[in-house]
Amino acid sequence: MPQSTKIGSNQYCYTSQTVQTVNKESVTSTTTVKCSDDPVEQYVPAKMGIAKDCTESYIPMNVGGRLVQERIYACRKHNGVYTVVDSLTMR
Amino acid sequence: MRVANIMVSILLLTASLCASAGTLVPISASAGVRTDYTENNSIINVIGNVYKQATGTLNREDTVRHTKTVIFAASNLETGLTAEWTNPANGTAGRVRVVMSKPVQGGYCRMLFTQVEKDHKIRDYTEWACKTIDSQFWTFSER
Repeated sequence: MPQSTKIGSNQYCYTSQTVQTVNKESVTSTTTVKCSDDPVEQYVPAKMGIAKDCTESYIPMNVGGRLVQERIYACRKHNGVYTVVDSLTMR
Repeated sequence: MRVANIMVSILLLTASLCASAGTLVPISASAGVRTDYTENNSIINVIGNVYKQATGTLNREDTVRHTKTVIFAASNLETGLTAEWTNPANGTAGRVRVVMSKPVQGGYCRMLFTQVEKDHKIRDYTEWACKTIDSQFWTFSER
């Protein structure tokens, strides 16, 4: 059964296993473990399959009169609309 | 303290209603969803307007979220594309569509159709995002 395991605070590992039986005798299985610390892959829209092309970019913002490069995450949904997500909606 | 808070709210309300010059924050991020303000010619109207301002505007977190979305759209999206954000916890959302772009002296401007939603109330805005070649900031105005 596929399961996800939280590793540390930012890395996730996903395990998927395929078991095949041939003539009720020989059994073959394949187990794939995929680990990633890419925050973009952890976005809910991307994980749910409702968005693709999730990107991380920086935009210039004025915070208290200072120029700050604010990080922003945006995923392009299948209808072409970009949805801006933040860390609160990750995972 | 309470009187001071009311005075600050009145100043913010007046500033947002009178905002026409370019600002560094999108008008849609600060003006909220209410359009039924009345003239401040009595204390009751003033109190009513302060209440509308308090209940009809985005909180700080959503204001930042909307501002980021608007700047992202102005900076990255081609004309015709839309960016949006939602915050189900607050019942708020915002949308930005890039409608057109035009060159201006020393820079360029992009017309944005922006929309703010709060508690099922939706308000539409048309605003301009402009940027000069030597500036990293977008400035926003209604025309």
